[in-house]
Amino acid sequence: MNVAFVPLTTLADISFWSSINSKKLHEWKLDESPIECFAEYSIQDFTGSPSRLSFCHDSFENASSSRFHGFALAYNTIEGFQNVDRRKIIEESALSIFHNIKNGVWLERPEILNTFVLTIHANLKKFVYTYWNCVPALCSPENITYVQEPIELDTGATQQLLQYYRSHGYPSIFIHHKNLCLPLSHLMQMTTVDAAAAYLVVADGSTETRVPGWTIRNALAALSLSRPDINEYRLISLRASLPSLHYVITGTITDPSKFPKTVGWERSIRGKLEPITVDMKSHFDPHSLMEQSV
Amino acid sequence: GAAEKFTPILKESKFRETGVLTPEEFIVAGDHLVHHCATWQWAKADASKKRDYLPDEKQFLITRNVPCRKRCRQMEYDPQQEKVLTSQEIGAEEGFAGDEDSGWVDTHHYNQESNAALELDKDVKEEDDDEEVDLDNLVESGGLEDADTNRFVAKREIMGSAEVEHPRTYDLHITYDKYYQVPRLWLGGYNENRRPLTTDEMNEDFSADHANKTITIETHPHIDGPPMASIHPCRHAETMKRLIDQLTENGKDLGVHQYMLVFLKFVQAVIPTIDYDYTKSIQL
Repeated sequence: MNVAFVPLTTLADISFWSSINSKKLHEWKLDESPIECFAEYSIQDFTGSPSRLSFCHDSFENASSSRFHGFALAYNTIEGFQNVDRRKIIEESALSIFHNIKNGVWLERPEILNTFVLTIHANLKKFVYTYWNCVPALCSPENITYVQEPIELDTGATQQLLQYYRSHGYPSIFIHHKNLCLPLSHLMQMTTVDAAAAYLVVADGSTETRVPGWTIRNALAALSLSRPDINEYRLISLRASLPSLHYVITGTITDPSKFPKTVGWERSIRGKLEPITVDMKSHFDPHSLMEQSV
Repeated sequence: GAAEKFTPILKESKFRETGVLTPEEFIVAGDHLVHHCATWQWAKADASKKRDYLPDEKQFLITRNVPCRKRCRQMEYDPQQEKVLTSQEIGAEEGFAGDEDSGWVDTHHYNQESNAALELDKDVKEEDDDEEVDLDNLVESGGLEDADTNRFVAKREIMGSAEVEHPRTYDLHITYDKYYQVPRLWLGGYNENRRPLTTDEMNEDFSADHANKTITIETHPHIDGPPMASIHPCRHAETMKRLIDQLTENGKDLGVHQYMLVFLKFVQAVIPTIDYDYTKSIQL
């Protein structure tokens, strides 16, 4: 079985576009600098719905630690949006993740692995919004295969992990070793034998029954780059609505100091690398609204 | 509006007598819901829409990404299958028993099992050609990324079933309606292409009996933005009162903390295909 990770799907609601309308008009104006932005993901969702990153009314305000912390880039013109160097955008974002892995910041703040760059063009006259999100994933190790394919974790074990997760401020990654939950910061003090036996528990928003999600990728990358002495990676996808999964992955690392390959521009529903356009005229245009009102 | 401004805030509990809630009771019932169904979460209001009779961190409730696998009319709608539900039937498994005039319509009551032969009518099929703007030429994506062999690609089922052809998802909000003094449900949906649904599209997910009556488009009390679809709360209190009475008659005393679970159960009749978690597992 090929190792595959469920990508995150960007879902932006009406209130998000509404906040873009007012911020663009009153705050950002023609400034195209990156804006801090916070997107919600969830380990509570059910099958039949996408594994999502939600952008909503408080995405520019609510910096809750359980959210993805990223940036929005709002371009003034559609040409600006089209012509931006997207290779550079993903590389810069991934490079900052890579540095935070190498300098050990991720051990104290694992949530820095979960980030995005949302590129936007908002046509405020026609209420047409074009966007393309990027959730960078570092591909380390390379040529990954399963030593042990994903198996459902039993309910008792999941409950223990969820209890730790909820009572310790929702850490996006922690360690499970010898029946104990430990903060991720313990990773570097562990012996090779212990580190190889420990499970990295990762909050995972995958809504596919037997398939790990996107947040596993940077967790795996960080583990492999931080502990080159181990070569089999034990992982748990922690989920609350669907059964959690445990599995073992292996792969190759030629040089742990080298910046790995990165992927992450979002595919459309057609599986293509392309932006999405939403026409919100019927929601925002005063004339359309008049017709709807009773 | 003006009515809301001049309605005094309930101080004393009247939920047993009239089915209405105080803001404090709304919080208690909301906390209970969040505790038992973690898919529901408290949310903050936009700064300009903060109501001081509710805590800053608990202005309203949200659940997101709720699957809605088919449209109401694809549930083989047949008037012979329709039945006006008594309160007894709405809450039968919780031990409600009661009168005949609660007026909620179950549009597929006699059709619990059969959804095998779902047929798409013509205009549903046309939605397939969703005017997807082809941006292939707009953005130079060639060579943007190296091939990613570890990205999961969902199998698009080719069973011809409407369930997989048109998966939608909904975000649901519950606010405290100060005028009617009851919880109020708001809805925002997305189509399979991740685009917010229009009001007309959402009407397909409201039971025929409610689509143009019970559902109204109004301004959200806590979010700056355009009007949203909502289930009008004018009959919520009397329905809740009736359900509470029946429970009492059956010797089951409904605590105010359980209010939201009963509320979510009865609004399911309005949105039968939106598969939210109203926690069947909770014993009332």
